[in-house]
Amino acid sequence: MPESNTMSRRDPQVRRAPNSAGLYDVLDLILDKGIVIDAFVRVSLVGIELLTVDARVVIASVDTYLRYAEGAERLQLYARSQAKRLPDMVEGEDGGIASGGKKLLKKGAMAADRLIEHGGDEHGRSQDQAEDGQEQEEGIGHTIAKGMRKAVGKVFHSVGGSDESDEGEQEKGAPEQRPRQANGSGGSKHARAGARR
Amino acid sequence: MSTYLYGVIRQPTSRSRLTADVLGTGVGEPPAKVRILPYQQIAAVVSTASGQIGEEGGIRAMRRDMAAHAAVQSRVMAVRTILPARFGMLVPDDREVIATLLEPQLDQLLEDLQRLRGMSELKLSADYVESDVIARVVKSDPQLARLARQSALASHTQRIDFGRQIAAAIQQRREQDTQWLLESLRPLVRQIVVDDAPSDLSVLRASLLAPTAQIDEVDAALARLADEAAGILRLSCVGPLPPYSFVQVGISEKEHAWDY
Repeated sequence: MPESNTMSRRDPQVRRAPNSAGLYDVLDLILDKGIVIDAFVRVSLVGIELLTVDARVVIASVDTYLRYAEGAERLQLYARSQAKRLPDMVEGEDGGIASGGKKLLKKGAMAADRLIEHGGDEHGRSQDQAEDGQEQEEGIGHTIAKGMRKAVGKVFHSVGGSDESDEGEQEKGAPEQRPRQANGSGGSKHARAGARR
Repeated sequence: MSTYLYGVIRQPTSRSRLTADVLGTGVGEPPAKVRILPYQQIAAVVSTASGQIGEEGGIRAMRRDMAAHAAVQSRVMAVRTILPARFGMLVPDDREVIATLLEPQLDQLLEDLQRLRGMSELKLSADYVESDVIARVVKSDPQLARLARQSALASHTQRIDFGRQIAAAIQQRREQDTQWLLESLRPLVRQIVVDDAPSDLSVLRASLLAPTAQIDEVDAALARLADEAAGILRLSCVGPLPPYSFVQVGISEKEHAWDY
């Protein structure tokens, strides 16, 4: 896909658009911007607005899901490379950290990633469906805990689900449908992350 | 039968490059022939829609018709300045297009056409590369670097807190980088409309207005900016597009009509 080339770092080419593949790129523009006259909206029936909103969610989701699927694959690569890079960055490869500790660092780094990426989503979900949200968070907790046990042979019990009360603020100001999309794919990412371990 | 609007142009002369081929077909199934509806010095680009919205044969807010809408605007834009209409502007007939848009808004339309002559919109996205920006903020803050070393043995809640601190550090950095980008872009383009950033890692979403002839220069400048950002920023720019974000006509109606 041309997108993957143009999205690459240090190479911001101006993409020719729109074509059918680039509809996602101009969707916001053709739905939100450009000439609109009050009378036009009125005569164009109530349905068009609803239809447009629905279609925007559908089309945006499809494109987003594709993008997220790609991202999930990249995330695994990233996790592997991060195992080397974070300790490297913080201090030398063998800077006093036992190899088990390095594994843990990696887990911690990934946990931190997930928090940054999905913290808001978790919160949003636990508000909407408190029980499910709880389960989800426990799921992550267990995943992390499992990694911990494996690495240091330590049983790790205290996995709380109720202490993330401020996480929601990270997503503040995002468009309304964003968190919903992110939730869906966020869930699948967690599932994948869980399956890896 | 009704009339679907794609946009408004200056009225073409007989020697115009705006041929039937350029106009082509637009929305609907089968796709309707796109035509010109002249009024004084300007003209609307329209097609006839057979069915009602949502009906069989009618215009639907689905991929096919949205793509057709954008494609017509794009083709016209290649040969002529167009003020693009939003998707879904359907009126009962041609007369209504003139009565509700071309006639009452003539002055504003002419002014917009003059102002946007030869101009294109570029849609710029600047996002952090997640792994790189995390590495950067952790590295540049001794406190975070220390926590990163300890995070391995920290409790679940400590780790959450660590993540929160990273997020805060990114947020702080983001504000600086957004300002830096905007200041760097301002001399390059005519106008900038800043949109809401969709996520924590999004540094800037903006529509840039630039002369179509100077897009290569803008592109080169963006490449330099990406280099200066030393790899943690990913820039993507889509265009040239019709100047959706810079059309003034009917702008006051937007808020209540499309408030979702």
